[in-house]
Amino acid sequence: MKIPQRFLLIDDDPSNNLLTKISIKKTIEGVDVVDYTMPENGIQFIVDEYAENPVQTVLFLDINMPTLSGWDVLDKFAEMPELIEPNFTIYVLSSSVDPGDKEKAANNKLVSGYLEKPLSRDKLKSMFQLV
Amino acid sequence: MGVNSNSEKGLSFNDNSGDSNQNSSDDLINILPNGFAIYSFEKGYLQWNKKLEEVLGYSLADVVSMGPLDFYDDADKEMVAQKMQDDAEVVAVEFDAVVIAKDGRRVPIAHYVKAIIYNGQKCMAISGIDISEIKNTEAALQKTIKELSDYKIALDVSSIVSKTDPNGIINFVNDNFCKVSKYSREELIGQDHRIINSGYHSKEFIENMWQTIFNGNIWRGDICNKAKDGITYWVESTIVPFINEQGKIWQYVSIRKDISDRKRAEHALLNSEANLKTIFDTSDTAYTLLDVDFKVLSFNAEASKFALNELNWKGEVGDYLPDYFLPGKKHTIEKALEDAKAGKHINYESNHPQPDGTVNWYLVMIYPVADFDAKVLGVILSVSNITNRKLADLQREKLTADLIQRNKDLEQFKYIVSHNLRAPVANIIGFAHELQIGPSTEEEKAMYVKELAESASKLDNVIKDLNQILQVKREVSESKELVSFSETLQNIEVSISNMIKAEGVEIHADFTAINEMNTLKSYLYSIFYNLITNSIKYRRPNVPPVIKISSHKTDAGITLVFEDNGMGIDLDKKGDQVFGLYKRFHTQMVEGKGMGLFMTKTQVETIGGKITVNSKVDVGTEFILEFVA
Repeated sequence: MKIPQRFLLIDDDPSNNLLTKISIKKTIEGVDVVDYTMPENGIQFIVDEYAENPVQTVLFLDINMPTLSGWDVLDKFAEMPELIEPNFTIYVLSSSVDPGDKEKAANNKLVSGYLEKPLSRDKLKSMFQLV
Repeated sequence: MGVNSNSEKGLSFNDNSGDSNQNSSDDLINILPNGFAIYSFEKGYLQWNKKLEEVLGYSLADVVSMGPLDFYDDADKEMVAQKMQDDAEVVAVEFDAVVIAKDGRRVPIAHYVKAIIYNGQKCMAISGIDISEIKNTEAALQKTIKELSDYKIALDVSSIVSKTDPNGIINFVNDNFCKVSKYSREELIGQDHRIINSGYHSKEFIENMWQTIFNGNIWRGDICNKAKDGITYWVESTIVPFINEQGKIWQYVSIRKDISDRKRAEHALLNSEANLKTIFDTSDTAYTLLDVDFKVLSFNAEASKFALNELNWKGEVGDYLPDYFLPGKKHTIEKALEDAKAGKHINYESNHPQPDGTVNWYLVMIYPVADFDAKVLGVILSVSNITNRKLADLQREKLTADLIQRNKDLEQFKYIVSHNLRAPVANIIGFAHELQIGPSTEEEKAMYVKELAESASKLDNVIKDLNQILQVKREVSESKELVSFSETLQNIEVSISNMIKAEGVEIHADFTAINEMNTLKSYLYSIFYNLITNSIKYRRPNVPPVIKISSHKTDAGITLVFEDNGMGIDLDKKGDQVFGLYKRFHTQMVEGKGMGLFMTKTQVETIGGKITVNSKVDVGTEFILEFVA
């Protein structure tokens, strides 16, 4: 997989965002990482930013969030395909080990894959063939 | 009235004239009570008295001109000719013969004929008596005898007949008697009638029978006898004492009819009635039979038990049943009875609270009783105690509801394990891994350690929460007591006074309607605490929280209302998740982990209440707690 210009993290757990950001930065030097703990803000960022300055982005999206769940976010994305489809590769990044969640992710055509937390450097390396 | 081969010879009156003896004897024969005639073989009839003329209508002149046998019945002519032959000369003969009178009547005449010498002539003196009456009587007697004999045959064929002497010794039995008693005639004749006693009847019964017939009266009754083979049989008996001219009983005749089949049927009926009565009375269902006016006709033991326990009705035949039901139930029962009278089968369950606080449940069935023409004669009310079944049902329903709830809980647990428990673990794994690889700087290392510690403590919190929830779900051991709402609120206000001061919280409480309820103190405290702190946590930014708490008395019990002016929840979207565990509706800016409402709901339900929510985003939220008294 080609290394994108930006990683976007949407997860209500700041610790996980921090951990993921460290992993990415230590694996891919100099890459842009943006994180949001409130999904509404993440969506707003996409709307504000990608119409004018679209960049290739990998999104790591959490499922279990209070105000909007990961599935709710994906529903919103489906309403703005012109911004999402050309620019985003979306991975669900969840702590869930429930096969039901994995299946739900596999069935969503906006989702490219399901990753179990934590996202380690090794996983990132293998994703981007950086060995 | 004699006969002679040459009887055509006439007899002249002149022959007798001039004889004074003759004349005086003529007078004599005319005063005889019987008919009298003298017949000469040579000259025919010489004398014919007035009696004969009177009985037969013929005068001497008539018979003189007639042949000697002319007035006899054709059937008797030969016999008469025979009798009046020569032997009559020696011996007198007697015979009966029928004479056809002048007017055609048939007159039976008893003849006494003797040969005499009359006026020197060989003659026959014939004395005749009209025996019409005797003959008639005889015929009537014959008829009576024939009839009696017919009766006897009929009796013999139809009945069991025996006769005994005054001492009860059998001297006659008919075939039927032998057949039913299985004794031969020889075995019975000469025996005491007691040979067929069965021993079934009481001494009084037997004595009464003997007393009756001994006094010359007819006795009637059903008797159980015993046959030779020991098998008993029932006979409907009539015993007639026969009394002679001296007024003494000379024999007893008993006439019997075998009624064993009828007796067996009677016994069977009595038995089945007795059995039904037994079933009726030992049934654990209460049965009451009512007439079409719903007046009690009869009821069984269980019904009187039910009536006394639940209706305070002593149970009298003739009572109007609906009068004994509670005023609230009287119309219901009347309606049901009317429906049953109209042919419906009514069926319902009824509960009766008991003084000890328990409830008795009854299955009531009401159905019509109709005759063969489907005419309704009354209704039957059957009441069975189904308390045990009902309790079992209720328990089963509760068990099912519990199981469903358990299943939901398990689903929720799965979610908690997948997300809330797994999330800090993932972080711990991640940061531990980074530490192993080696942080670039001391600052980085310190950050990793800090994150590790936080995640570990988060994990610990989740585990503690789960433990707390499991505690609540366990059976409550604390006992209920009267808990004051205002006191509970005061205690909370004290414990969160810092928060109240810092956030400028206003709490307006109105417990004037009712200020206490019988419940678990710690639960009520926890419920108040969670709802109040929830309202403070989810206040609108820059709007000081105002919380209104009020209590209300309702038909069902007590209602508590908690109302705030906070952020509100979008119930259209999240309504189904409001009380879910680890469901949060607000962002990180507010402390909370989605436990409070879950715990509150669990506690409210544990103390027998129900919690519902109304909310509007940016206006406020209202929680309504309903407790059944």
